[in-house]
Amino acid sequence: MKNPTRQELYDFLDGVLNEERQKEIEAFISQDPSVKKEISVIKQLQSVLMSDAMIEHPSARFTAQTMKAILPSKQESALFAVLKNSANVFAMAMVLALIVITYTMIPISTNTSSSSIINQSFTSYENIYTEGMNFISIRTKEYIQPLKSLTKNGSGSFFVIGIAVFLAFGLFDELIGKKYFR
Amino acid sequence: MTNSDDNIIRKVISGEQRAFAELVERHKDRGMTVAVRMLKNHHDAEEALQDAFVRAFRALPSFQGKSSFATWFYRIVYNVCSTMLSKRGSEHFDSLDDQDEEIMVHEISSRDDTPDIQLESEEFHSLIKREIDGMEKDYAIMLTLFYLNNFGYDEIVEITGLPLGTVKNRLFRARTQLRNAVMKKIDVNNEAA
Repeated sequence: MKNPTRQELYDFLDGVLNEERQKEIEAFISQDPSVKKEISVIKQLQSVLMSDAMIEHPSARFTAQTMKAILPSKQESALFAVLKNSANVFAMAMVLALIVITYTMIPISTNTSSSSIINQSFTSYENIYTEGMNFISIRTKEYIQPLKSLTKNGSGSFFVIGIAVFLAFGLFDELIGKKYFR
Repeated sequence: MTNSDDNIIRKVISGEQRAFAELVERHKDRGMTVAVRMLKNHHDAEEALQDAFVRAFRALPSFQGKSSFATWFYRIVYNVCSTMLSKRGSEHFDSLDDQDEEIMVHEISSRDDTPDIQLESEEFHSLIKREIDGMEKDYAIMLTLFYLNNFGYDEIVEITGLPLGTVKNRLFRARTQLRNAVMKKIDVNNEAA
């Protein structure tokens, strides 16, 4: 019987030898104490190599970070991006304030019909500006009137306008902003 | 009942993408071990492993199930690590594979005065781990794939793309190197006793 090589001992332990050689080596091991010891060392080594002590672990947040890399969070909307910027919020507030001032402060002509204003002849350049602003104010009120009637008092119309502006901006963001501005 | 890898893959492909987290949980530790054995660096290994998972997720629709998910995935890990190593300009020791070595048992264990040994102690666990950490990566990876991940020769061939002869040779050398280190340590302990 040919003495086994160490490779054959590994193969013996892995169970990949043919049946005949497997039996031969088995007999050899039982006859030779040094080979028996060698087998014992290899078996114990294998047991350690298969144990959890050999396992390396990634950091605790590995799965979360990997999933974040795989599934990035949905892109924030352009509206949210605009609102995050305090300068933009300030600009929007100024525009709204301007609308409020225009609506409440500018004196209205006694004649509330816009068509009648167009027919008026301006007597001097000084009142062109005043009359023009009156015209804008009256026009604005004509458009706002149906909205104003939605609420018992006039202040509600600003709320409605605000919502309309918000929705229009959101629609713009959805249809155009995402496509062209990012 | 636990989900098999195949069930999770089906879920992910059908749109339940978050189910992929279960595959990550399932394979991250052994994948990390493979990456650490190859790259010898925990930080790089984690980066490579994450890259491998991202690649696996993207390629999942093309996974045909001819081999197991584990074999397929560890091949990705192996390739990502190999690419990282080639960028680093790592050395290779392939020439060693060409040397033929046939050691007869009577040559290697001529002594029968070796005492009964117990490798279960923590001391030997850390010795073995240190030895693997210091081992050339081509050998260390064989031990990891064969013992820890429980892959057979054919699967290791598929993962590494190496010929069967090379796989067997490297595994043999890795086992022998480890065995010699352990025996040396036992000798030192015996002399001290």
